[in-house]
Amino acid sequence: MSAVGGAPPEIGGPPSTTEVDVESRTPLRFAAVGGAFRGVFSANASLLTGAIILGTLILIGLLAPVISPYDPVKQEIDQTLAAPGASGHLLGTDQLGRDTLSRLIYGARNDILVALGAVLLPFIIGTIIGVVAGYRGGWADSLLVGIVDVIIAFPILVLLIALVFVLGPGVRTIIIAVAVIDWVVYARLARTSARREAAMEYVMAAQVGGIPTWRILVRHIIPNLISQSIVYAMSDAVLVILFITTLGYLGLGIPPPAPDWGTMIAEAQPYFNNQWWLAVIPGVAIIITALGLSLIADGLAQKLDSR
Amino acid sequence: MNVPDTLTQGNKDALDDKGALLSVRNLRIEVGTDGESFEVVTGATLAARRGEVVGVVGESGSGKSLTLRAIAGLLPQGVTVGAGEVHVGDIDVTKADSAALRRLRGGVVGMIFQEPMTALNPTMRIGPQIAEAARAHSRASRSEAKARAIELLGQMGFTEAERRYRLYPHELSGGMRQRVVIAIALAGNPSLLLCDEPTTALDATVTMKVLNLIVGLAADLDIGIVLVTHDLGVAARICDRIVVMYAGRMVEEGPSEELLRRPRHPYTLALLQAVPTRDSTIDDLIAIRGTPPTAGEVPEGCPFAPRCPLAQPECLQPVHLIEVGPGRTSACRRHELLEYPEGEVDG
Amino acid sequence: MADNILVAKDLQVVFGGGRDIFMRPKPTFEALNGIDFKVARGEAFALVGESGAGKSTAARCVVGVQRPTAGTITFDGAPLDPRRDRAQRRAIQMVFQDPQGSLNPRMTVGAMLSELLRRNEICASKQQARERSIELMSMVGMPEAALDRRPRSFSGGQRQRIGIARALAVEPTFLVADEPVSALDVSIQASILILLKRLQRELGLTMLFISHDLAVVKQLCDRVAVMCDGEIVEEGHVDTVLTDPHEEFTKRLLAATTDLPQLDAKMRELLQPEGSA
Repeated sequence: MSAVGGAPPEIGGPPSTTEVDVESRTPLRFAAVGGAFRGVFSANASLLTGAIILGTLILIGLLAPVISPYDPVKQEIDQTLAAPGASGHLLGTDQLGRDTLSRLIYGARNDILVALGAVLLPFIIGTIIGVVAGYRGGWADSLLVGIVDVIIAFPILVLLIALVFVLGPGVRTIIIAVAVIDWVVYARLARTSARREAAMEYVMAAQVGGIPTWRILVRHIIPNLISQSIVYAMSDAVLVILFITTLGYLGLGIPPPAPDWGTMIAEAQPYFNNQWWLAVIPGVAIIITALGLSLIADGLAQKLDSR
Repeated sequence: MNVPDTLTQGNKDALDDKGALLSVRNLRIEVGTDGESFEVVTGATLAARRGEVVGVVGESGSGKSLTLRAIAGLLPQGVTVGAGEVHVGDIDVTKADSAALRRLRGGVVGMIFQEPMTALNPTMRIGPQIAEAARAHSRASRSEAKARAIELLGQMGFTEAERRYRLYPHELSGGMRQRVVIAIALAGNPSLLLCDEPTTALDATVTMKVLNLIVGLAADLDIGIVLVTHDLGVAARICDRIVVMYAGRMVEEGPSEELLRRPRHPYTLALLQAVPTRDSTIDDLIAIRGTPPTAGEVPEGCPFAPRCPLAQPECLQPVHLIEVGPGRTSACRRHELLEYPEGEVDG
Repeated sequence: MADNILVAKDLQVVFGGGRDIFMRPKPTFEALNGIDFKVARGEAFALVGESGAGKSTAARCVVGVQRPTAGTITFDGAPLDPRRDRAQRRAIQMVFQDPQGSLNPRMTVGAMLSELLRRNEICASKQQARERSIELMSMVGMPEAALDRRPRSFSGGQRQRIGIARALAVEPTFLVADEPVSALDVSIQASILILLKRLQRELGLTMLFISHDLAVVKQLCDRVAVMCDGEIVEEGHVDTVLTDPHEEFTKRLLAATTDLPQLDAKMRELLQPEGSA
């Protein structure tokens, strides 16, 4: 750093890198940055682990037809209730002689992919509605808040199950049910963030600069709030997976004989005493999936925090 | 590293005086955890006596607020005193345990901050907040504490103190809230009042009132006041002595009027010439080129050298505070450039 | 007779009002109580006052993000409405107060300028927008490299410069500056004020300057209106108002202004050495 005085103007030369305001930011920040350095590291660990888990599961689901050793719905009456490892069935067979491993793999395909799809719709709808309402304020905003408060007051799982019951089981119903109920949380999240961003001066600057409203929303407001929503979506996906598998358990989910972890558990109940693995294995799969999603959510949230 | 411990005559008087209140010597404050830590304040030395107002002036990044917090023993997590001493009365704040510090704060040292709204409990009426502070530092009964609170409100300039006792913070304006904050700070009868930018969040006319109040306290209650501010105008109004800080170091000290009229450090001079005043015009203003160094990136030698119009290669050597006159110190090697006898002003 | 480019008449803004869900009237707040002011072409006019005085509200009306409850504003003879045509919108631009919040944290400086230039049809292609952006940056003393960075890598003073470049991007003739230096460190304020003055002179801009600080106003402006509680209490040439204030409030405001001893010429010379340092 050159030190001698001279006469170059105050400007010129590269702008200084992040200016740390010692007074107001360093003391708290440096403890935080130190922690965050470890935090980004452990956030990366969290994020990385979760991403690996989920990535693997999704891959399994996508490649199901290729890697599944058997046809998941093919029944082999002479090989029912085989123990894991017996006669070419790595995880044994169920009461109808269907290979557990194959059912598990196809179950991943059904449950995870449907869950991710079921989260996408409310995410998109809810975020758009929330952003518009938050930005415009006024009666649209008050109306939204009212609707959100009413829906949230209900126990969501009960609502969802009731809806599926009324509409009849099936993948489409599940997606519709989740979309209809779940959008409100995304809307509320987006609305709060949109309100906060809309009050910022850079938005006013864009308005004064003649940027049309739609572009302000898309290019300025949404990018500044989307990461929070994504983090939330990850944890929401856990709930949706649980929802789908619960439906399966109750017999309201993806109709048999299509494999679904929840259905597998339900069907395994009568055999729990002797062939406990039939119920436990799909349960473990659900837990691992939920864990993967939670780790991702956690990791993302930590990364956002330290910024 | 031992830096010569230079005390100005002003500081020496303050310390010899039986009324010596505050003595800070060679304070070094560090930020960071084991392994990677760096200094944010280096070699801060100052003293304050009862009845006087000492101003610590600097911009963001100068370390002035941290110095103040160190005096109160209120450094945040991760920020520690690396070296030096802070004596308030007989107590060495840097070595005191938390019980001693708790007794110190409020009872001997009062402190007020920039944002009056966050300093007050919004769900509690202002009177009881003052009374609570009074009881925390004395054996006063409830009624005695309430009387003290009402007395303080009166001293702070509140008319109808009895009635105002029952107001909530949100029913007061910013200036009034700040006065309540001051009352709380005084409730424990401290002998030293530390003020961290107390008027920055207030309007100009309210600032005047609060400043007048503060300077009145020094005289009426015979307490010492250390006022941290970035605003030279504020310091000019009420401070008896001013200490100027830059990038964590003290660069100059002296009696306020003399320092402002005849600065002995280029930074002070540059600052004075960059501040818009009632009498200056745009062509008078001279901007200081460059930006202050970020914490941890302070260069060797004089921290101001990269931006200093008077810098020479010798300024890359480490600098210390030098006594440059009665009660004046400066950390500039070339301070003689800034001296010339009174009266020798060019026409 | 002065050529007044902006004339505000009886400008009134009332917040709140209406009824809540139970049909009870909601409280109102009068931010502007029907004020009149004129800004002559090429001059720098200041609205000065404390917080809540209404000066920012007036600025917002001029710039078009606040609809007045009553009153009119005319610009160059034509009435000014929040919904304005492109010509009027481009002619009046604003520099904001908060260096933190006034730039989109997720957009690079270049993208921000490019968007403005192309949306307003000043530049047709990315290439043109880039060239023009480089020019704008150098007008405010920032290097080309700044275009590819995000706001978080700049200091407060640099962000304000970028904000000024943004305001100038659409080639306005009238610039509203809302407390542009209040959030900056003291030593940086001077450079921004000097920049604004230079730009005003070089580009022939008319300026509406909002501030709470009479000293700052004195540096930059020709005429000033002192506001209190939504009304203008005193108005006149800056020198006159500062040396001979009439109203009590103006006097109080003046008394609170930064008052430091004037440094003599020899000291100033040290800061600006003629020839070699």
